[in-house]
Amino acid sequence: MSNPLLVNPTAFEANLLSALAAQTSDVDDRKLAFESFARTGLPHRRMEAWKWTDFRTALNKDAPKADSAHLLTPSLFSGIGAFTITLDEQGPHWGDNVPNGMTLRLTDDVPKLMDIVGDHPMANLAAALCGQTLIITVSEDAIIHAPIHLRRAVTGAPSHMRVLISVDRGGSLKLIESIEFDKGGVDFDNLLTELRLGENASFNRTVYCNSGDDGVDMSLLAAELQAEAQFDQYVLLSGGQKARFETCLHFKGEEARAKMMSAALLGNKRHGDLTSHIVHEAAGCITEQQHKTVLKDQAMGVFQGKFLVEREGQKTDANMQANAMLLSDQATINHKPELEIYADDVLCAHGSTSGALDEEAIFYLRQRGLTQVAARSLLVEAFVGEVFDEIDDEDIAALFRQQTLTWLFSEKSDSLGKQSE
Amino acid sequence: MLKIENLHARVEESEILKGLSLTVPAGEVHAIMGPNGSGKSTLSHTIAGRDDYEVTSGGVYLNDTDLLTLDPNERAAAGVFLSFQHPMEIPGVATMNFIRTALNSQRKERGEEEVSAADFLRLIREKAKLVGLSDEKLKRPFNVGFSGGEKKRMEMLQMAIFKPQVCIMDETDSGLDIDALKMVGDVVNAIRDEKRSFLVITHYQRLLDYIKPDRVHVLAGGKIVKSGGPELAVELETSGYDQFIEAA
Ligand SMILES: Nc1ncnc2c1ncn2[C@@H]1O[C@H](COP(=O)(O)OP(=O)(O)OP(=O)(O)O)[C@@H](O)[C@H]1O
Ligand SMILES: [Mg+2]
Repeated sequence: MSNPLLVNPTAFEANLLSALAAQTSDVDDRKLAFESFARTGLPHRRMEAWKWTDFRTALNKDAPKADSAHLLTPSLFSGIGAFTITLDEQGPHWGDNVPNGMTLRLTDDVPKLMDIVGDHPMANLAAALCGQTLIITVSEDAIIHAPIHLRRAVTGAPSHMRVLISVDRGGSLKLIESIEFDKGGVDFDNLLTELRLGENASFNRTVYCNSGDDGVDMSLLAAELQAEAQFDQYVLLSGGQKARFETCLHFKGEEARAKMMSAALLGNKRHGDLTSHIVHEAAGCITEQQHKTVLKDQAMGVFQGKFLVEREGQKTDANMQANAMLLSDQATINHKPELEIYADDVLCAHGSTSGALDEEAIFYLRQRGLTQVAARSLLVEAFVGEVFDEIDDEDIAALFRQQTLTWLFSEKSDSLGKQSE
Repeated sequence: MLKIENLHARVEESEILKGLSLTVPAGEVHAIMGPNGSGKSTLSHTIAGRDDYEVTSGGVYLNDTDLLTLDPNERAAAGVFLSFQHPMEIPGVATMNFIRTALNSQRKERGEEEVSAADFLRLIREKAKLVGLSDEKLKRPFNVGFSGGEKKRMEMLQMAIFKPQVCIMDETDSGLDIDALKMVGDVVNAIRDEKRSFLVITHYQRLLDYIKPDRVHVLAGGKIVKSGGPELAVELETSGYDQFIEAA
């Protein structure tokens, strides 16, 4: 298929073109978005921001068989009383009893992308191919107590979804987002979420991403924060064949705050990329970010974090820490923290470390009676536990701790030194 | 009884212990003194089973148990306790939870019943008082932000809780104030009985005022080069180690 939009499209990209041709609504805007995507095509290693996460190559392999994908049922979050919105082959859908204070609707239109992701290839791809966009609105001063669970449950063909959320002044929303595969993985799941947080509004997002050994997955959130808004995010990333979790925040009003805590537990040949881009364009805003990666087998972890402080961002207080623990010498970690600062009165810091388990600490614990496996898992739990300690919701913190143990003791791996027992 | 026979051990390429023999009968306290770098900590780590110390020949026995065939945690369950010269800080590990897990893990290995949460709480509160650690310290991650002396108190707390068969105290007294020194004496004397053995490594005679040793040994050049009664410690205070370094 020859097409003026994409130069030398891969087979996968050619299919994206057919998907575009099949769109029936707001066709012109979709074409524009696709053109923007087509400037680069699927992100690949020669693009700086994607050098460690090459979707073009990942998606050019033999497509994983859709019927091998095994979605975990019920969801890990089924017991916590959330209102569930399912994102699957039928698009977004939900049941009765939408909580008071919020509205849900679908639109065929293609709203303009939020500035901070206007040129993002995956955002443009989602806008071009998403079908209907889900719009979640929380009205002024409405506090939504029950969490909303966005369950990503596509198991078949590549999927592109788009969700717009606005929490108006003084409102509050708790969102859980999950993709849960225990086998196989999704062909390609591309989710774009755009969030508008009004003055003094608060948003709490918990994410669990387990895209499966074969899954290719992209989750991108873009957010604009008005004055004194509060954004909290807690993430547990289990990776996939290629999985990227990206957060782009834009501080537009003074004294807003963001807290971003995340952990990646990666095994087998999995890949997990946590990328963030935070723009401080208003005075007195605070960002606190911490990311911990634990790697075993031949897994690869990526952390890319950037703080951009514009001239308007005086008195910014931004701190970014990334730490990795490697349980196998065949695993790889790539850390890339970046600061770009145009204001003169700011407090910005970043730090990153990586290393193996501390053998001296293991000996200490074993001298006290702990087995090799118990000593190692205690240290791993302690390492990622610092992230989970920050989660207010006890049920979710307990669930993440439990997932850590499950992951540590999953078959195949000898990273805990089981053989020497 | 702890029995060490002709022990040779190496670290990386160099031999540190060069035929060390020593017996600490049940119920006795033996002190080891010796110059820096002579192998005292190497000995204590080797008995406890640290695997970067390679035993090339000789044996270490606790009663009839051949310790060298056991993993470090099995040695702990058999009753070997090492109070570390430099105790670790372990961020993220809750102190009480860890000590309880350790105690129950030892008990499980010995086929004993686990200690309940309530009984453990009572036990640790009582012993914490004895060693002078506040509740607030017990609630912190293990040893994080502790002073040198507080870390040594934490070692004594664990020794008082585990009640091991063989207590190896590697310079527990260094960095301690006078009151803490007395506390160490109290902890040892409280559990001292006819079955338990103590190996007390120290540079100073003053600890031995609180813990009366049955025997004092000089370790130099990887071997025991002289043994005697408590008076030997006093003698060394004035004479130093020159004579032994030349001999070794
Ligand atoms: N892990 C190691 N790697 C290399 N050399 C080591 C190691 N551990 C100990 N050594 C060496 O072994 C020798 C004995 O050290 P050790 O710590 O046993 O001495 P010590 O008698 O306890 O001294 P101190 O009184 O200073 O505590 C020293 O020369 C030391 O440098
Ligand atoms: Mg020493």
